[in-house]
Amino acid sequence: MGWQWFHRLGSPRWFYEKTNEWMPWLAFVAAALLLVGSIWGLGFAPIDSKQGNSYRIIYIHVPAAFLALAGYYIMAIAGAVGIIWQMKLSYMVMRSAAPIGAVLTFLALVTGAIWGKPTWGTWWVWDARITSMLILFFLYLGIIALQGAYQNQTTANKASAILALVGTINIPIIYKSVDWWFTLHQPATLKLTGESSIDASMAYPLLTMIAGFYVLYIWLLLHWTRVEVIQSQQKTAWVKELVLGKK
Amino acid sequence: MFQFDSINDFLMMDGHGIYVWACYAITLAAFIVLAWLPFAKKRELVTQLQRQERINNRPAEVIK
Repeated sequence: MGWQWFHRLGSPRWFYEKTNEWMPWLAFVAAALLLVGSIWGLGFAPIDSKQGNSYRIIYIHVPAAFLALAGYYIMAIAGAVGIIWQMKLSYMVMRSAAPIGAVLTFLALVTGAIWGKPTWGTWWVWDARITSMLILFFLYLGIIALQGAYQNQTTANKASAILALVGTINIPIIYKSVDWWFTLHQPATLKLTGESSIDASMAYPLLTMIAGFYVLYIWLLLHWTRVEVIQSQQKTAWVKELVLGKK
Repeated sequence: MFQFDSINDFLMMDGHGIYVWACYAITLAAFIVLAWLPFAKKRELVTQLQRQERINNRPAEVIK
């Protein structure tokens, strides 16, 4: 009985029907958090004494980078579950996580570059944090490319999962890059342990934005996975019934 | 407390406005694309399945 949920979770149909009712709620919560966080961060958080108003980019840059990394773990874990238990749904999650993660990494890099111009005087430096983030972007692109490189879906899934798992080495390197090397990038602003180097008046809108990005990520991941489910199950009776609206 | 004196001040952000607003605009555009793509793919799939269904239901003599 204890494992029943796990087998159910592996059923694409169960997943599709279960998540159906969650979608509007997730979208609503994400939109509300992002709206509140943006207004707060753009208009009401105090101005930074050193960086002026340009620091307001933090409210996008940090959450995007955060989810780019968390999303990579989600993708790698989904790939591992797919390999170990031959779970098709898990591979669908992995495939969906790749383009979302790639876009988030791209956003972290682009907003970082735009932030770099007024604060560092340059769009780009080959510094440890930025370079390791660029590698993360290429890892995401590699997984997307691998999906298209094989005729056989099962082979493509396995290859992508292995690349995703090997690439996880990069994640702690990204986290630690600002401590291990001398970098232009500023050290972590928010810390789980110890004192954060950011004032509460700036931290609360940032936490709101991170929460918003998280919920949006969950919504996007489910949204992409649900369409993957329909595509891969299009020959089944339940999808035909769903799509063509008949018994 | 609102940090700016006027809407114009809010948009300019002491010369940093262009950087800050560009980041928000790019992010918004990226999110719209990420949200829209699965809808487009689903619509395409539905159209394809419906077409398939019509072909399957066609009377036998039409197909030669």
